[in-house]
Amino acid sequence: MTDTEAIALFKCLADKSRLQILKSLASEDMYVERLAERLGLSAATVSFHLKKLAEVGAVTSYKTQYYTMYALRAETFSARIIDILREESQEADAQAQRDAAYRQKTIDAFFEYGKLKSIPAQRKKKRIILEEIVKAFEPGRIYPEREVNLIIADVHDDFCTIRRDMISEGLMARDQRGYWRTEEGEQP
Amino acid sequence: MDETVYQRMQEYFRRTQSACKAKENALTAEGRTDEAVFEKIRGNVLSLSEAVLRAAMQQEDPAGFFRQRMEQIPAAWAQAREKALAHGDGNRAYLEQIKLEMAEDIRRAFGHIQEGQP
Repeated sequence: MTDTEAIALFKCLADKSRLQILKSLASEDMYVERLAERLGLSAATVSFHLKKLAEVGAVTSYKTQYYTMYALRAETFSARIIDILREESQEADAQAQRDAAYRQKTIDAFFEYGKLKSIPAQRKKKRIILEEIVKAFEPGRIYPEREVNLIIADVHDDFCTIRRDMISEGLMARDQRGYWRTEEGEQP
Repeated sequence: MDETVYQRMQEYFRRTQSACKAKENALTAEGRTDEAVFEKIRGNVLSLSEAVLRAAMQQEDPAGFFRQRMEQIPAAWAQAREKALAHGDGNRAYLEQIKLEMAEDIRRAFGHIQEGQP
């Protein structure tokens, strides 16, 4: 378990209702309405908590004939806390995690359900956004300009600006044949 | 909207907000942090609606203005809920649902007070 995963798990567990849900599931697998009745919460609130618990790998679900049943995820809870604490966390890993977290935060702030809300003004953030958009292009394939525009337009209406920015950032290159995604380190 | 309706609505807001705050504090103290956030959200909708009511009193048709804004503002929450559901984001949809239910309660309370019900 990485530090990030451990933090997410512990944060998620630091809630009385979620702890009560896990205690109930420790005795037997249950469906939402049964948990709601047992804990005196609304079914919608129980679903909300179960979704959070599922995101950190604390519970798992399976379908039966009538219900979706929830169960504790044994692998997560069989990990000993002392083993999690003993796992090495190198500074390089920590830096990489900080970079990844910054990157994710930027992506979350500027994208909503796969659409770019606005083009960042700050260069570092814009680079991250462009790197995200360029993933839609297969490496090694040459694209005509029209196709490039269509792919970018899926994400944002101002495809001309984004296309030009991707060229100037060296994420894509062009010649008379068309556009292609550059390899890492390839100069514009 | 006459002064009595306005006063009774203010009283409704005070009472409901204080109940939300008490629940929020109790849930936080109990370590039910997310459910405390749900109460905070309800409290925020109440504050917002109270501000709309105050603004309504400056208009020519205060009741009409209040009703219209209390339809218009939640429409954006309903849209956000549908968008979240369409993207499988059940938890965000639930937060929008909480706002919508609170707005519905406020609209209902306003209707009752206007009809002079206790």
